[in-house]
Amino acid sequence: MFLSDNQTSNKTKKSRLPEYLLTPVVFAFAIYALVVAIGFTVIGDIPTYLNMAFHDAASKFDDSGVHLDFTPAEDTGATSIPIEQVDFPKPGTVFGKIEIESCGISCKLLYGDDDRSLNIGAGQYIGSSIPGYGKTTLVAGHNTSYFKTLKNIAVGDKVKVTTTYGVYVYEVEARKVYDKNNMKAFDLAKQEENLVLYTCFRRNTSIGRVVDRLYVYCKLVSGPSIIK
Amino acid sequence: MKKIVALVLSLVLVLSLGVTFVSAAGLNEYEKEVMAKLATKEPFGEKNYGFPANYVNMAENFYLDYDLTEAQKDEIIPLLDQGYEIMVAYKDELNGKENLFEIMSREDKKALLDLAAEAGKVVGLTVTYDGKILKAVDAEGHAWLSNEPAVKITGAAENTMMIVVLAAVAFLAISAAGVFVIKRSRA
Repeated sequence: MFLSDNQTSNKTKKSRLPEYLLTPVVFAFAIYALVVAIGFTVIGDIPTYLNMAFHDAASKFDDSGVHLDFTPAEDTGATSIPIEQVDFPKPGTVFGKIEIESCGISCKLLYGDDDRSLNIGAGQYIGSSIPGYGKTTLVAGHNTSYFKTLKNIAVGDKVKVTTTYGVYVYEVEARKVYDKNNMKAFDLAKQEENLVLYTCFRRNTSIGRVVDRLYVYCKLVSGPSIIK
Repeated sequence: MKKIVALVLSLVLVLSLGVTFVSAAGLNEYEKEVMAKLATKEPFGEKNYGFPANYVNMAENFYLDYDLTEAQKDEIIPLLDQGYEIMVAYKDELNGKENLFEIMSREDKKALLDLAAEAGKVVGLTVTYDGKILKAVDAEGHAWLSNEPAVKITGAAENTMMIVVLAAVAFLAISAAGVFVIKRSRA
C-alpha cells in the first residue's frame, strides 16, 4: 500500500510536530534559567516590585494633583499644640502631605510604610514619631514614584509637612548614602525634633537589588511642638 | 531574632504595666511610667539589655491612641511576670550573646509568643508570627507593632529591569531561531 503525496506530507508534518513544540520549550527553559540566574538577587523582592507596579488605590486628585484624604491644618503660626488636640493617626492612614518645592515633590504622608502605603504616598515608619513630637520622624518613599526626584535635593532646601494638626517646615541639613542594613544611618532614640527622608539609591550597581539608601536629614524650622 | 526578643519583651511589658482608665490623648502618669521603664537598661548576663528605640516608639504610639483600663492591666501583669520568669532563667547561659533567642528552647520561645498573643488579646491586638514576621494588629487591621525592618524596599535599579527585559527578548529570539533552524534543516 502506497501513501499518496498528500498523506506522506501530512505524516511528515505530524512527525515534526514534537520538534516544533519541544524545541521552543527547551529553549524557553534554558533562557528562563539564565534569566533567573541573572535576576536571582531580586527574585525575593518580586512581590514588592509587583506591588510597586500594580496597586488598586483609587485616585482622587484635587486641583493641585495631590491626593488629599485628610483635613489639613491651617498654618496659624502657633509654636505649640496641646496633645489633646492631636488626632494621632492609625497605621495605614493618610495624615498629611509632604511638599518639596526644589524637587517638585508633592505627595501624601501615611502613618506606616508597608507596600500599600508606599504605593499611595510617602510612609512614616511606625517605629518613629509623628512630626512635632520632639523625636525622629523617619519617612520612606519609592524612587520610582513619589521620591523619584529626591536625589536632586540640596542642603538648605525646605521640606514642608502639612498634617491634620499642624504645618511643619524643615530645612535640609545633610544628605548621605548608606547601605540599607546600616542602622546607624538614623537615630530613633534621638530626643530632638528631626525629619529623615529616604529612598533607594543606585550607586554603581549594574545589576540586582538596590542596596543603598539616600538619606536626607532635616531640622525643624517652624511648626507647633506637641505638648505632652 | 534579637528584634523578636525585644518586640516580645516590649509587647508584654508595655501591655502589662499598671494603667487605669485614661484618655487616649497623650500619656497619663501610668503610661509615662511604662515608657520610662522601657527606656531603662537592665543588666542581663554580662551586658545591659534594653528595648530598642523603635519598639519603644511603637509602644508609645500605641498608647497615644489606646486607653488601657485597670481591669486590663490586672490581666496583663501576670502575663508579664510569666514572660520574665522564662527569660531570666537563661540569664547564666547568655555568655555574652546578644540574642536571647539563640539559646532559648523551642518550647520557651513558643511560650513567650503565646504570652504575647494573650497579652495582645486583652487590648484587642492579634499577635501573629509566621516564623519571620511578628505583628500585633488591631480589629481594623492596623499593625501597631512589627519586627519588619525599619528600612524598606523603596525602588529598583532601572538597569536591572533593562537586563531582565533584554533577557526576555533574547529568549524569544533564540526560541524563534531554534524553530527556524530545525525547520530549515528538515527542508
